[in-house]
Amino acid sequence: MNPSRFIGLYPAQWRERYGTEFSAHLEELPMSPSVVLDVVVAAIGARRSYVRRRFTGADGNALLALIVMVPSIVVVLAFALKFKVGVAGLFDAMSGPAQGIAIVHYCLVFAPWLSLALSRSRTASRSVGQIVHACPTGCGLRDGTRKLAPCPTGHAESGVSYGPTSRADTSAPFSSRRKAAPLRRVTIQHGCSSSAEPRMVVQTNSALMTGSAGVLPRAIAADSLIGGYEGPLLQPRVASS
Amino acid sequence: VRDPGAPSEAGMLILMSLATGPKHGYAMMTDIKAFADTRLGPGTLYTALARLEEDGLIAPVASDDRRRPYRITPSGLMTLRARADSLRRLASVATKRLATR
Repeated sequence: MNPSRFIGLYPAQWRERYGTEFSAHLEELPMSPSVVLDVVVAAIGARRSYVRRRFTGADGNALLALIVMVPSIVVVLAFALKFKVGVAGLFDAMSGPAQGIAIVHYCLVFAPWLSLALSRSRTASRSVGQIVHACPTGCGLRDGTRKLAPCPTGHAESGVSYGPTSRADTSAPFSSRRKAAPLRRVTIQHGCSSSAEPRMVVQTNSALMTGSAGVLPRAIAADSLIGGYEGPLLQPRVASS
Repeated sequence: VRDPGAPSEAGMLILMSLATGPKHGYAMMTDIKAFADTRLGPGTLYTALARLEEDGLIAPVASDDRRRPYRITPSGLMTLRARADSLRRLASVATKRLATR
């Protein structure tokens, strides 16, 4: 049995990232029913996870709203056909059995707009960025799925997947409940030192802030950032444990 | 209530394995089998690896080999140390309570 066949069960994004090494890993294992079952169950879990992510976040909410909007559009069109054009068939077919529960129509009409409103409120309050402790000196910024700035030491380039920020992150997210403009660009003048507590110097549009990577993000949250990454950097060293 | 950001049991085993140095998937699996007598299936292993990498607890090491090694990050070390402390406290309580019986 060709183990690579199982890679196809996983989502495309997962395959792109892990496909090669996973395939190499499978080739080292003797195929058995338990291995196959484990791979299939994990693939289902990965697909479920990707679908869930697809329906979370701003884009996902908008997509969800569009899907919910479809029955609403049908109801409105049927209403228009009956009272504006005089074609009653569709509306009568719908309103017949549902006459006693007219509220269903209102739900169908207003649900997508409610969904859109919720989507906008969630977008406004989601994290606008996070410090990611992913390299030995601990830095690298992300905003949702977008990478804002490279890890100054370069370690995070290969070490971090910049996924959605919906999951709890212990690395001091700087989020704001107020409607804040998303962070666009960040200047990190010095990545961090070799100390166990990473320190950063960040230039914003109003201040030059120095602090630990755990504290500074909260200060950054109150500001909108400008500029791009600039060196030079301190030499990265693995923090002593 | 479980911390949604906390690594799974498989994740903790991986962190323990990587605490002694970078390893690729198969090496992790054999190491975990040796110290925990637990065989992680390939799907379980890579699900946990992906989650740990996403959380910044491990990071891939550059390699020409198809089998990509991973290393533990400082955040991963902190997480592992915190979990070890927690388990040590629990084991201590369990030992004391068992001694009274």
